[in-house]
Amino acid sequence: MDKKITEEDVIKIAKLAKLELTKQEISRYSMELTEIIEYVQKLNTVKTTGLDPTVSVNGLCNISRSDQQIDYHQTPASLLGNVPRVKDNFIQVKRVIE
Amino acid sequence: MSWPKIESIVESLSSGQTTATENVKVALSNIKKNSQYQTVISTLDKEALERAKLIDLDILNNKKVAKLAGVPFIAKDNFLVFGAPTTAASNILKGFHAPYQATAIDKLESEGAICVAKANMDAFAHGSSTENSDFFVTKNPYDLERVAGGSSGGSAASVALDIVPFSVGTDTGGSIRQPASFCNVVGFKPSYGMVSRSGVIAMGSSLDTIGTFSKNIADTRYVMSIISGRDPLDSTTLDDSFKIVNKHQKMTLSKIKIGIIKEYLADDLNPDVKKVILSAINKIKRMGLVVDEVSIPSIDLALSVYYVLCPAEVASNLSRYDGQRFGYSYLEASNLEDSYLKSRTIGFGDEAKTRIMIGSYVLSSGYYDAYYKKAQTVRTKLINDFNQVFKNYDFLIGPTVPDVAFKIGEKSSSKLEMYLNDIMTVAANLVGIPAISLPAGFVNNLPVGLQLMGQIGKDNQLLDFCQEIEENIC
Repeated sequence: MDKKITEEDVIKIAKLAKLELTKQEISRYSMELTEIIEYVQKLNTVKTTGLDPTVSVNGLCNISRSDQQIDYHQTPASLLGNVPRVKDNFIQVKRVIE
Repeated sequence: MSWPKIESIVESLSSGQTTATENVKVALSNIKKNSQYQTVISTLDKEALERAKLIDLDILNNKKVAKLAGVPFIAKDNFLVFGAPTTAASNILKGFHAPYQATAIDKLESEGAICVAKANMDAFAHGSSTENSDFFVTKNPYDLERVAGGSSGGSAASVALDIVPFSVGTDTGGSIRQPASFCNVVGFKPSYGMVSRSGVIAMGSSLDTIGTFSKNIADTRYVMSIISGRDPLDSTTLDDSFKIVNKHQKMTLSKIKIGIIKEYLADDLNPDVKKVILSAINKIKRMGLVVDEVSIPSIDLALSVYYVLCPAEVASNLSRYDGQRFGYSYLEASNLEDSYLKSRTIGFGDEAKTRIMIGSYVLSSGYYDAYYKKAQTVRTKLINDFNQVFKNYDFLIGPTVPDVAFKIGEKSSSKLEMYLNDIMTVAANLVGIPAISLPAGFVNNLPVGLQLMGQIGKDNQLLDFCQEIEENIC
């Protein structure tokens, strides 16, 4: 398995992460990420046959309940107070579907 | 000026010796007096004084005195609190006003506690020094040129400096215990699920815990008994039968068995820190307990497991910061994609980006099995190994951090070097067990913390034990 994170890899990852990087950053992150990924390689040497991945440490799982109407005593203004662009109590975003 | 124990603070209020307003004024004045340490991002002067006024009125009208009536506290800036912005020390959340509060904060306030400020931290809790705060670094109360630790550095330093009697923080990989060790205070990380994570900005959802900073176990217990418990808003919270109670249960010390984690006393531990730790352990031994060296071989893998799982969960949790519904938004974006890219790129700091990228990598197609799934499976191995040791030992002991507080800028050369700070703390988060750092002494006037760990869900027992030893270990 590739232990080195190339600049090409960094560009791909940045795309997945929705981040824009400068040429300098791409080069720097290539080094930094490689160092970290190299460190965690020791996990490959561990025998884990017969073991399941841990999803939850305290063994809890999804809980469901029926729909209930609960009054949280909020106004549209209080809930929309942090929205960058509001129009008629709607959150305004750039066109999603071309 | 030193705050008395929380119980006494409430007593004084109840008897009319002091008022909530006086307490808040003292706390706010303390913040100003200690501004050079840069422990807080924002203060809640108006709100705190208003709240204090109401509490004082209640007391004058002989209403029942709440358990934390008039006790001022500071909350790490990743707790959603009304009255001040919640930023998680990140530019991407500058000016964000929470529309609801963290359950832990609601619980504290319903018992009369008063939040006076939001503490500085590493942005999004990514770090071990507060050097990753997008705003400023919190200085160590014992040396202005050194870090207070992180990510809950502001919370730890605020208690060490006697600004407030207690503060709340979060611990995902050591972020309460490590700054507690660096600042000479008691830092408690409870079992995963002990305190609701509702209203606390998520970092690594299978690892995040909420805990306290204070000067002693009695105060730790007092606050933890109020914030712990099942919450319908967080379905990962433990049943109330595990809840921390504000009652010390005496222990028969001769029946207690302690395991010294052999791997934590290895080469990377500062020899002077080792001396302090071994001296503290010897003092405990002399109390008549059984103290043995134990080995947990898979513990050497803990840091690797953590630095795969945690960034993966971070990448997922930070995907919500997209500039659309809250947080920094690049308003001149030409299209949606541009809006996402620019908002996140401009808003996030360097460390957040690093962690998001490691996380995205280990979760990506072709790498998910090899890294993320593998790490989750090694996590199971670690849990099993700890369970095995806990069959024969009640508590585990060792240092909290390999060294004392480092100088600001000292660990900036490599990310990995900074990550190695967490080497003794991450295991407890991966396994979900309660862990605590207690002041144990000093090396060149810099504090050293002793770490104790207990079994998952047995937080009361761990606190009982710490109460027995806290006076004797320094």
